[in-house]
Amino acid sequence: MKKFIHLFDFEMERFLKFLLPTFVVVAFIQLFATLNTVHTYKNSLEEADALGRATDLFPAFSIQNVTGGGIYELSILLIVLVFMFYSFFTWYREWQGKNTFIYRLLMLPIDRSNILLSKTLVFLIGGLLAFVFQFAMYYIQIQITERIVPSSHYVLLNVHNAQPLHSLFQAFLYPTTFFEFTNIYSFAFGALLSLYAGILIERSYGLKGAVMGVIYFVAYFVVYLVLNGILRTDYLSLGLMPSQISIIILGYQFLMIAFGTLISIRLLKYKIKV
Amino acid sequence: MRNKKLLTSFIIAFAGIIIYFLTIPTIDEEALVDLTVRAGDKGVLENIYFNGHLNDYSSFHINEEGVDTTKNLSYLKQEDVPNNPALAQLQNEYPEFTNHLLYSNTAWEHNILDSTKYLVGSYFEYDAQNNYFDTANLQLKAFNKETDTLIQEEVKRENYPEKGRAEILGMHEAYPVINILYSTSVHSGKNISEDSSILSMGEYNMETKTYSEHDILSEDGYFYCYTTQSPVSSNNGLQIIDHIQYENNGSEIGEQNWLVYNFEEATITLLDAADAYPMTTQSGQLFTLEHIEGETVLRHYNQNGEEILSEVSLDLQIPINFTDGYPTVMQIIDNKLYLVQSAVASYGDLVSEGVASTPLQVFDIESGETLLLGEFNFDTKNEVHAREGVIQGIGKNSDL
Repeated sequence: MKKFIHLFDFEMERFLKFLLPTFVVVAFIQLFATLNTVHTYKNSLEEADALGRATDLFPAFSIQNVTGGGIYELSILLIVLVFMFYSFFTWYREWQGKNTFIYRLLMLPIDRSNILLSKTLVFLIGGLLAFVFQFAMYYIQIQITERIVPSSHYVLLNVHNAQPLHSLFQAFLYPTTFFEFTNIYSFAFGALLSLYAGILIERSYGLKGAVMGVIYFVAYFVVYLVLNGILRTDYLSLGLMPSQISIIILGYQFLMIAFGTLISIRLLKYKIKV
Repeated sequence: MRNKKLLTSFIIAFAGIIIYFLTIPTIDEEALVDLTVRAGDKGVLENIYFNGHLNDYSSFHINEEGVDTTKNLSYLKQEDVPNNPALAQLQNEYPEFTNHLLYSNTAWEHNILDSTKYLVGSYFEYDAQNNYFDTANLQLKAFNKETDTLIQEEVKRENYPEKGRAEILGMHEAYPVINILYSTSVHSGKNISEDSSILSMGEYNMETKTYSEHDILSEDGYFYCYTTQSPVSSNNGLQIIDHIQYENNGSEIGEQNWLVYNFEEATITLLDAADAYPMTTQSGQLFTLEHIEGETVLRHYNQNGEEILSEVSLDLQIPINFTDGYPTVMQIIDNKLYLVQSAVASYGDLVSEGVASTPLQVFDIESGETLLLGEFNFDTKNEVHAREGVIQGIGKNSDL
């Protein structure tokens, strides 16, 4: 256990070297977007007032004016992109980096499944950190906007309503029920473990493995879409309730998490080529 | 300290997630919909419920006991429960019967009739592979509420209008017979203005399991089911039919009439009030509401719609627009007319001004005098940042 914790800490430190600078950049972009949007609004309001126009007809300002902006949304996408990049990088740098670090990693006196477990848990913790970071940013931005925009034109929204109700970011990143949270994040976790399995298949079987690995990874999404289609189609008389469909989809995601983990552990233990 | 970064990350991540879930606001449902009585007797709201939708949040149900929204249910229950309270209540009491009609992939465009003894569901099976409705066979489910027995039949229709698209407009149950009123539109193949439709009546006998069908009326244009009530029809013996003839290849409505079909007397009558808005009560009375020379008049017809039994001018405090905005929701319950029309939010509305309210007017149907004047206010504390609130249905608690 102690050795696993050291490995986990080591992996976390490596990930934080990517994650923390990303948070700094994203925070900078979002604060810039916040101040820019607020000042543009305030200037328009003052201009209208100076020209003698009725400012009470001016649409009110809320944090959603900021979060709905293009630059702001791109900054959130930047975090997602860093996660996508790092999910490849975390494995390939072991082989491609200096002194082929994978030799040392595989020679560690611990069960090889711990390598997978540490890399996976790092993503889980990192994902939650990103979630909490963005949530904290919403809170800070609400405080900023509330202080700058005149109260007569400001609508104070709860931090949980920072994104418009039907925006993709609200629906996908900040679900309001535990079931939705589990459903959305287990989908992402399933994709991560399918990618890990795909990468390890490629590392185990060379060029043939690369094709198999890509197929395995893509199959995760294809089967998800096909399963969704089958469960909801009018072509088959399944007559399932919407909640039953959600539970089956969740079951598929957990199954793929388990399956991806098993394949990866097996490959790491018995097949991996260095 | 060893593993400091790991420990810090772990604590921030999990504490943050716990804070996130703990701070999800508990919605004060009473602040989402508030019915304020401005004048009149609050007693007329006893045993009355209203249901509607709060955009973009949830559907709601309000009565004297308070406000309920579907959002107070667990996520999985929210997914299954229908928006309409009458359907939700039916699902609660008769889940097997209701869920099959609501969630079967083939039971599209179903009709539900709730009579004293039977719950009747009917539909044409939809074949998605060939994209057609099997109108040659009627799917019928009759659930006996007293004995808890279900009659489920695929009834082969004979002597029915085979050409065109068939729809079920209404049903009536008078044991052992279930009547089914169909409309079959016959396409001219040229343009919609030249299409015609046939009304036909089917009779299924639950004891002998025999079925017969005959045509009632054939006219140019289309016949539509018209109801101001819930998607669960009461067995009141009347069906209002909206007859529309289109012009200019369907881009304009040419002529529009109301037809009344009386199931018990098997009569169909053209209602001599094309500009009026008809409604039926649970007990099978027929009324219309109409603007005549600056006045809004409520007329009570006999059951065939041939004769006006009485009419009264309403002491309307807030004007009603039948042609613009959200449909007027009107319901006559215990000799009182409940009337609401919700406001459509315009894009430029100031968010800080809140959601437009919906006025409620209640009248005595005999004297026309106002019994109550009130208004629904929505999302008064800006709990869910709603854009608009719409009242969609009125009913009696005891009917649910």
